[in-house]
Amino acid sequence: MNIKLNAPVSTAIAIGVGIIVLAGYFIPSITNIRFALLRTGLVLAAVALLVGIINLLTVHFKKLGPDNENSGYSLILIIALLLTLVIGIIDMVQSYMFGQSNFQMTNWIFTNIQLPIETSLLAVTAVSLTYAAASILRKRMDLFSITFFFVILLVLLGSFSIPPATLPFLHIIRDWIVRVPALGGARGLLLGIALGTITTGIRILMGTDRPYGG
Amino acid sequence: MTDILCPTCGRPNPDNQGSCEFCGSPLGTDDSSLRNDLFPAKDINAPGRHPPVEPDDSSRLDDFLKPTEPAGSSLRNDFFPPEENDDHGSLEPTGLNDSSPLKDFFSSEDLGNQESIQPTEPDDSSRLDDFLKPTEPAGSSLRNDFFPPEENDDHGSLEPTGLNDSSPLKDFFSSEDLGNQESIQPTEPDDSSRLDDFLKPTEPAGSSLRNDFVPPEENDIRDILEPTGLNDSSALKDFFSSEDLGDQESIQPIESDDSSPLDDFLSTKEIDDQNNLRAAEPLEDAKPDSEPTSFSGDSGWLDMLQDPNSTIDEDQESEAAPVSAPTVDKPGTDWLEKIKRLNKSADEVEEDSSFPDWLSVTEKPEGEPKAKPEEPESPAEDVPDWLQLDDDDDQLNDFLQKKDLYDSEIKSEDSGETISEEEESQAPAELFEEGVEHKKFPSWAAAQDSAPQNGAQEIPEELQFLAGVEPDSITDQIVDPFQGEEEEFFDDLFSEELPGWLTTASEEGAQIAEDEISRGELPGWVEAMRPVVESSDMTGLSEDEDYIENYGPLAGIPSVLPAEAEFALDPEQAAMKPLDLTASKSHQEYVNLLKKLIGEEKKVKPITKVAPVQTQRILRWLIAIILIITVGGTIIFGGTIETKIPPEDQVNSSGYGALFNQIDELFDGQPVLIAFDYQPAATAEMHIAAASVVDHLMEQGTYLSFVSTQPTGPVLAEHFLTSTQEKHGYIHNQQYINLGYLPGESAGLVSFVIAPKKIIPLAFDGSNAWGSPPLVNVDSISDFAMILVITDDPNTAKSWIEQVGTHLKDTPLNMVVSAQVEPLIQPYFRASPQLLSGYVAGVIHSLNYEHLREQPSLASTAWLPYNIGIIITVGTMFIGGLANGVLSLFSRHRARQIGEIK
Amino acid sequence: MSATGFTGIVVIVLFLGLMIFFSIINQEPKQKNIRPIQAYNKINQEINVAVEDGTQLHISLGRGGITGPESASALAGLSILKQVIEKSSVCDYPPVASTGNAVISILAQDTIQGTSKAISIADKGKNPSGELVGVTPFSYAAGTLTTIRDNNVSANIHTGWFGSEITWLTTAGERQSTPTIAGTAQLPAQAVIYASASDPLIGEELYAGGAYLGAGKIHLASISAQDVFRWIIIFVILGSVLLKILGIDIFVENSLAGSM
Repeated sequence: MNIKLNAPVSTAIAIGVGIIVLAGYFIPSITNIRFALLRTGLVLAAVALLVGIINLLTVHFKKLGPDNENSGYSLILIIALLLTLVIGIIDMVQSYMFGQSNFQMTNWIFTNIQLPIETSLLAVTAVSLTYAAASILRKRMDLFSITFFFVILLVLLGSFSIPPATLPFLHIIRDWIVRVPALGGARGLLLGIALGTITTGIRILMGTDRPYGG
Repeated sequence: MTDILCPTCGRPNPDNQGSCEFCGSPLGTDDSSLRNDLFPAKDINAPGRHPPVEPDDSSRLDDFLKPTEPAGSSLRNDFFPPEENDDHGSLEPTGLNDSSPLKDFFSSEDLGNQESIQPTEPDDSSRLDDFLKPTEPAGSSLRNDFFPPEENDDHGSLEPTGLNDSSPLKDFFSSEDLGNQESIQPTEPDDSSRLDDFLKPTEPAGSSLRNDFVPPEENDIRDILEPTGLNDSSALKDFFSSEDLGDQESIQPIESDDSSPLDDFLSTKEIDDQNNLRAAEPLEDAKPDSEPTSFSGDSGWLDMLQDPNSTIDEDQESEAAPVSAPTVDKPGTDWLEKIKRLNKSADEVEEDSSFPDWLSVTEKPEGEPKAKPEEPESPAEDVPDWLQLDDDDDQLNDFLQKKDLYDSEIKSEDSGETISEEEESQAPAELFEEGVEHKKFPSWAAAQDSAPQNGAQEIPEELQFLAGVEPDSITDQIVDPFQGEEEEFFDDLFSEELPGWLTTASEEGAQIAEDEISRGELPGWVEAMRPVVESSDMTGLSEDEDYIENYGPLAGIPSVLPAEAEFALDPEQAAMKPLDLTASKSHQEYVNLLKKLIGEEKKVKPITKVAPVQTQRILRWLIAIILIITVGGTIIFGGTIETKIPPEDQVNSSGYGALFNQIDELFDGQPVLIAFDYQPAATAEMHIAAASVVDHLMEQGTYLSFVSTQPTGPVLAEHFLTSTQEKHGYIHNQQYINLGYLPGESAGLVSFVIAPKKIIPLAFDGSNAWGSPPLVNVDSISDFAMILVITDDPNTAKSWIEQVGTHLKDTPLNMVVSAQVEPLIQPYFRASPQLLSGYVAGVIHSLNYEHLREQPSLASTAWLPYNIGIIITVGTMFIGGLANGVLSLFSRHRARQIGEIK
Repeated sequence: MSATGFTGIVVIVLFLGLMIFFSIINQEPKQKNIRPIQAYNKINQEINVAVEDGTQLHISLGRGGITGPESASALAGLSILKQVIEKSSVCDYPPVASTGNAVISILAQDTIQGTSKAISIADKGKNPSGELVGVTPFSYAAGTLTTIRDNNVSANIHTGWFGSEITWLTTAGERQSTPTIAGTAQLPAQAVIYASASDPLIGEELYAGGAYLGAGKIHLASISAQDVFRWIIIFVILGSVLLKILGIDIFVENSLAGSM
């Protein structure tokens, strides 16, 4: 195993920063330190987004070539990214320097390209979810799956509200499901997730988990 | 125990019978002892035997031998038919009253087997002398007749049949595989003189014989050579010069069709181990006494054999001349090696038709008395009757002494002759210096007494090459048996060095020789006579014996493994000859199967994995088509429908009711922070859910500030305003401000809560956000009159509640969320203290909110398609679910049945 | 200090003590005391299949960052990524990782490089990638579909922060006839996973990946500490219900409010 000299340093930094931020949540006196660290983290997060975009570009540049059957998609992605970036910069220059446009071109791209696409994807998600619910009994034919299946039907029917065909008891059932079992189950899951989150965070603070390459 | 073999039918008859019991033909010679020795009963029916003729006298013997007496090559061809390589018959001597019958005596059909040339019992010494007379080769032409090129592999036993001229001797020594060392064993002579004559040739002929005697590769059978007393070393050199030195043959006086008696005894391993000693001892003792007068008188034929130039009475009757080749001489080894190299390999030799080199003796000047008697050293009790010297000890002793003396004289006289002759004659003498004291007695006889003593302590010089010892006196004397016109030819041969395998064999043989000498037992060839002769069975097989070896040194020994394969094995030949494996069909199938298995190992087989769940594209497409058609049709052709206003108690306890009341209490100019934290994909739902709420805020005249923790949030905010709140005409930096993207998610929210101006100093368009009217009075997060979070992500909602809501004092935190988030935020709304002041979840709450405001908006428009979509989804889901459930049950039932069947 | 802050400190300190305690008493990191989770068994199986079949695994880390509550699920995904890389180091093709968040993308690449160096995967060409596929949920889902539909991918492991868009990923795996192991901390997505994934990870099972994949005894200690706290929460909830039934809850609230 390779031992890097910067591993202890990065580990120490990660642990120290984590403890300070955590302690600042409980100790008001160190809020300023905590805030400074958080601001630094925000900047780094924004830079990380830029790094991620560069990484995205790099990956798809590598995918260009005759060997990759999806190289066409990568090319489209690169062109769209660069085009959007250029348009955004133009909008930013115009807005910041001349105060003329309020990101009109960027809004146009978003409204006419990204929004319909993502909305359509969500619509297809609805189809996929419907299909998943319909096929759950084929995947797992057990009590929990059957319960899951019929609870979906009841909640959906409880949401159905067209006056001539409205069934009041379905609304009651739906509300009861959402308030009692769904909420209880969600609470239980969230408690479990919270416990897992705490342990994960503690492992990070202890330095046993070092996703930062230490 | 011996029978007389009928010359006509070949069946044995009692020796007291005058005529055959089976066919009535008169039986052989009058000398029953000789007859019995010549024709042991067990060999009668052996294959390959030549039909004996009545040998009662010389005329009959002549008659008998006539049909089988070829002249020159014809005779050779008759004796060695190429097609009968496997049948190793031995020519049985039938009569020896003159030399002609013995022409065929030594002829053999198969020279590949170890056979002994057994001279027939001559009536008198003259006949025996005549028998050996033809052993004088006449020249290369004669030699050519002796070694037909076609018979390389088979080396039959050479049985003397008549030797009135050289042609029989050609056949006698005809062997293309000179590697077979043969020993010529004398038949039992009637008197000592004949026996002396017979035994003279058994003397080692010199180094040439030694080479043949000790094949380098097969030490176990190289011992079987028995002294035959061939003084004509040149001839014997060729005779024993072998391409296949592994085959050692002894020429026995009495034939045995496939396995002569001598071959039989030679075939035993034990004998093999001892025969080196036994063969060496006589050589050691063989100090030839040259007595030309006596030798010429009684053993002139032997002198002829030994020295072509010697004065031999051509009228002498030829006798069977036992030939042995146990001479061991280093120089001889050299020239034999050269002969071997000339033939290049055993394989080539087998196919080669070159003549044996020993026949070059015919080219040597005559008169070389080189009789070096070589006596078998077997004990007296093991010596066959015909070899017993009881009757003629004195004569034999005298003869041998004379012979030795004669040889010594000849050597001294011929010292100025050709080197080869001198070496051939001197080499044995030098080798056997230690055996001077045995000169007065035949060496072979003396060996009976001396062998145990000497053999246990000394290594005969002729066997020293086996021990790797190179006598200095010999090494310098390169024996060149070939003089005359082939001198150059052999000079080339001799120029070559000793091959490695032979050197190795010599070293190995040295150890063997030491071991064998230490044992000091009877000569193996004598001892081996017993099992063959005593067999009473016609076939030579007893009931308990399954197999008796017919070939090679193990011939005649029962219950042994067949030796043909080893016998025919030549190391060089095996090394050069490719192995032709005979594979049957089943073997080939196995080979193919193995190849297939190996080939399949190299192939990468894709693992066929059972899909966890088989996709149902039809169901997927069916659901999509139904939803698109119904919902799309409803949107296009449908309209708005009137819904009932929810009950008041329900509104008061709901989140949308609480939110409505809070907004309704806001007034003009109050700052409100709206977080657009939903994904673009959720725009449709979130716009429907938030449109009525934001519209309500704008109606109240509040200043709006937009922020987002999503990168796309600022744009979504702008899009929301333009798409849903266009009617209000809010102006950026006047009624609303877009603060843009707040990075850091939860951490960003915390930071924004702590110091909003520091975290987001500029607006989305780069303007001073905090100096604009919407934010001019805001210094902290608590200065907002309301915080409204529009999100479709429950985690984002939680973040706002946990990170921001906990820091808010009097500022209410409200949310417009997707329907899926409601179960997660509802506890915060219902908790105490209440972290969430109010919320609108999805289309349903939005519709109710519109009902509260009494202003239909997007929710009212989308209500019908929304409900149609719900009912279609439920119907599709129900039908599909039931169908899949039934299919699952069927598949389980089928799997259970298959499992039961298995 | 507020009651919430005090409770938080107590919980964290107690958790830390329990984890250290269990890591000390459990010297031998054996998994015999933890309940079997089918999804993690499936991951081990698929790693073996990938080694034998010469294929690769796809690990999608979701779109959660490290600065929010979703960071725990993202870090859990990174831990699983590390274990999978170590276990599949003998594969002809190392695992491929995809993320929907820039920070997680960087951390994923760092984890990949560190793990690859640790297991001496010298060939950089064989290093698994940790590419950022998209910054929005559906762009991330759409970009990940390309990787899932790669014929060389034998299994998909989705561990991280996902929304309902995960149904795209699970459905794509189903159409490719490849097993899908999925787990997330978002509840709506868990419902989708339960309905569409072949091997779902429900609730806190996502955070137990290190313990089930042999990351070390501290992960086993974490599970033990969670179990202890789970029982504590259960008793606290039951006690609160009992106090509320008995009407003592108001008294306790007032007492706590007065003390703080």
